[in-house]
Amino acid sequence: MFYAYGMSITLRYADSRDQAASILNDAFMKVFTNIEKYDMDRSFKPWLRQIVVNTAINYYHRTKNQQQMEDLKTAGSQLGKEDHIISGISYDEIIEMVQQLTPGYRTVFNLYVIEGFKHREIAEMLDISEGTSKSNLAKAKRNLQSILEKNFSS
Amino acid sequence: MSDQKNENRNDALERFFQQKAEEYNISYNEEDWLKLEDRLNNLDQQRRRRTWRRLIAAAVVLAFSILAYLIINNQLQIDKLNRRLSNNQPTQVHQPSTPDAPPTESEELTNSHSDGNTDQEPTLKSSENETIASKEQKNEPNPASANENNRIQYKNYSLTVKPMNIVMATLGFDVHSAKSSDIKLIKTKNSSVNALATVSHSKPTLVHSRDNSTKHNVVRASLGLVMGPDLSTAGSMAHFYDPGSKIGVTLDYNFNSRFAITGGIIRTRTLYTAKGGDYHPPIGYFSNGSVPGKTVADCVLLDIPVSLKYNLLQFDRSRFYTTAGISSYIMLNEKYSFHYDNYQSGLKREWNHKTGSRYWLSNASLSVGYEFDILNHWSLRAEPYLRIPIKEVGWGKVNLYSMGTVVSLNYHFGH
Repeated sequence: MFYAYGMSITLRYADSRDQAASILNDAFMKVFTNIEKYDMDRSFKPWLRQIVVNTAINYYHRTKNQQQMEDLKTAGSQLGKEDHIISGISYDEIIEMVQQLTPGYRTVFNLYVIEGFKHREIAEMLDISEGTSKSNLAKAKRNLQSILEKNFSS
Repeated sequence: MSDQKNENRNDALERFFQQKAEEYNISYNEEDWLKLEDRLNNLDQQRRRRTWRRLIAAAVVLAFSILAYLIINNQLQIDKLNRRLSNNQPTQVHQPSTPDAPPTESEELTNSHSDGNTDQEPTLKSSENETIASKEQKNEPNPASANENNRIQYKNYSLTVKPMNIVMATLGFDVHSAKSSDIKLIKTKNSSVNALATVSHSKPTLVHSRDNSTKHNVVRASLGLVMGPDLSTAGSMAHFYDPGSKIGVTLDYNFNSRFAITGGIIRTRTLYTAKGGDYHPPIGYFSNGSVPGKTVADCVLLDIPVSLKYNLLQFDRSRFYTTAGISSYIMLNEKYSFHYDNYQSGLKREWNHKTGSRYWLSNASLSVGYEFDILNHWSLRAEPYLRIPIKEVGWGKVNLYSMGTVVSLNYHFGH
């Protein structure tokens, strides 16, 4: 149960399934070694989610020096056919699309769109400026639109 | 979350990904759990190793504290004894009247004790003995000199024995019985003036301790039962695993009061981990080139050490010593568990055989120890040791480092 939940988070932050499993592995290690800090009066899932996301961010920091923040030059137009596209794309395909983003874009996209953080918070977490966070988000969305149109618009 | 709305989050693309992110249906992967299990096991082992290291450190601190206490206590007793000797000196010892006379026998005895060297006995004064020797060289033997010799011999005898009586009486020994044995010893050594002069220069031994009178001069061999923990690692002194154990027998042969040769046979259970590069099984054993990231070994072997032992410091009932030598290993049973960074089905996970392979002179051995006499024939030893690889051992051809502390109960022959 928690395995699938954890993987659903780490898959979005990782380049591959192996990398996602590795991040989840780190996250569960933190859970096991800090279980005494868990407040039994609160729900477990948010606590787990917080640890998994933090682990993913730590992973981003560890590997960001190796990342080539290259921008895909396939910035496309606004998504116009999303309504009928949505119904035909599986979860795995969505994850594949997100994993095609560069780590910098992907992390900002996940933190902003899925986790609900603000740009100011994201800037602090990733040690970047607020402007960079906004810029990365915009580029991530453009790239995803482009990928969607390229693969699913026919 | 109100801020989120202000930032216009709900465009179509975002809604699309938010919705899809909740539709996960991820199947459980056993390999991921196995990896996590390995990490948890490693974490557990690290904690246990940390606990062991702390226990060993605490034991070492405790051992040194006890040693320090014993040494200080011993020194205090010696000081007390010296004070008693000083108090008894005016009534017991004849004082030479010449102004440039050498120190009295009591002073010499005090100095001997203060040095803490119980091997060295109260000595006759060298100036006096030189006088005797020169007299002997200048004068041919004649009846008159015989009487002089006797007088000198008696003088030395009396000067030597009187303070000894004080010492032994202070220690609570039977002065009369000790006196008779001491007299025999002196008479034997001082059968002639020549002999007296010669022996005096080489500091003749006159015992003032029951332990020294027997053990240091007579003990020739010791048999010991040893046991203790063993910490081993392969490749370097950095990756210790769980502690193993040692149990066996040792035999010492003493050349003199300082040097001994010691050997033994010790059954050792050694537990260690080896990284991929430190473990070398036969070529081609690991299929598909998948070498384990870590190998955990659980081996039983016979450790056959041969060492030279040297007593560094000697006390009345205890001594510090050091040993240096070489060990040979005979592998009785070898069990290796292989842990892969990326395990795939079909990879070998364990190798377990009774090999019996022999590795002569495979490890250098160093140790320091402390021995304490508990009874007349018995003593206890605590001996921290280090084994450094000279050549690779075992089926996996590893450079095996070991360290630990053995405690031994020893029986001394030859009293």
